[in-house]
Amino acid sequence: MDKQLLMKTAALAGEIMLSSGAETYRVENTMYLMLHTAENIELAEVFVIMTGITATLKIQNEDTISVVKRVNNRSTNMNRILEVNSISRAYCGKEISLDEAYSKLTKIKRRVYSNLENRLAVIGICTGFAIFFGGDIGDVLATSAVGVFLTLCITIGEKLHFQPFLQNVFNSFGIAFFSIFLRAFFANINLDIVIISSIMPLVPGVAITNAVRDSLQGDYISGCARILEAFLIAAAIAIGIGLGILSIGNIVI
Amino acid sequence: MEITLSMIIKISGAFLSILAFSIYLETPGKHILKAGLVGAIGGFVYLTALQFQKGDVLASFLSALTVALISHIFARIYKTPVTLFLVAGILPTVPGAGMYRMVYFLLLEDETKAGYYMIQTLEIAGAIALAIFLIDSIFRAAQKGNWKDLFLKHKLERKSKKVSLK
Repeated sequence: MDKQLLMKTAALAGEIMLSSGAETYRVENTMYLMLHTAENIELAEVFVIMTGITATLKIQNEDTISVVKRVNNRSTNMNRILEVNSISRAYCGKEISLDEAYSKLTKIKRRVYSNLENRLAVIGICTGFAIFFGGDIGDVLATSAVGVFLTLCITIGEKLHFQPFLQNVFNSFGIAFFSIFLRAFFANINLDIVIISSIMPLVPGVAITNAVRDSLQGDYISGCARILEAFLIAAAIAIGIGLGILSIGNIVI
Repeated sequence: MEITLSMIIKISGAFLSILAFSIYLETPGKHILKAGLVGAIGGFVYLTALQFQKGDVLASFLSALTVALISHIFARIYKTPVTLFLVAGILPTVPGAGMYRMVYFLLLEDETKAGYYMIQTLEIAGAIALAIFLIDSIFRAAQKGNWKDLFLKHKLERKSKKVSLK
């Protein structure tokens, strides 16, 4: 068995999972199990935090192999987590060889849905929550319109390569601005429902969930980091909404 | 408890939004309907709890508890990571409303109400965290604990005692 390739495969699997928003312990566990398929292991350890991976493998009478990987971009992508999960299970269950596992890992698709489907989903989230929060037909239609405006903001932000924090501020600013703008023309819109439903695609639900699950496993560093992430997202949304209301609110409300 | 038409409409709204959210998170097509179902059940529990005059915090806790339980069961049945259903299903209870109202009242310079909503937001976030924590640790104990060993040992001990008594 090629030890270098084994390490490369495990590191790649870990990197994909971590950058797709998997919990830290899941990444550690997957890499650990993969490394332990080697024979005559003297030492095989994996240490993962939210922003990077360290792993080392020592086979008896051979040199130590170590890997450090920094993971910069994190987003949530369930498909990639699922794919890595099934590939690593198949490899550890000896259903596929190491070469196959590596080539499969490099071929995992980045996106399942097209850009258009992704944008439609954003509009769907806003609209669905407007219904859930008890809006009447006018509120729901207004929220859909704000959702369309939100997708526009997201697209602009992607084109201009905004940092995540600035992107959240910009998005929620757009939501507040456009909601109040609509309110100026249609006086019987319930502004509360429209704004609250429209910020739902941005709220840090993923960060809160992962923070709890990481802390439960004893990964307190990653847990704290994710709680901080959740707070930063919340602060960004608050700043954006505040700016939006300040910019146009005095004219309308 | 009565299930009114408006409640059914609201729950279908939760279903739609969670389905859309799981598409947004790039969940593969075969799982999005299940994720939507988890979200709808979470929404149902939340609305029912509110109907019984429970507060926002307790309603969020109960909803998150149900969602976490169902997510774990679905993850065992369909052999997927728990996060897949949990992240999507938890969304209706995430305190977006509290966050917005806090900023709104801060800008109106109504410190009392702003403080109230800030504390409510933190409480709801804490309640969600506790609910996930609770269900996760129960399932971990059920999975990793040596229930069989404990049970068998107990049996063996009893058997050996019987033998010695004879």
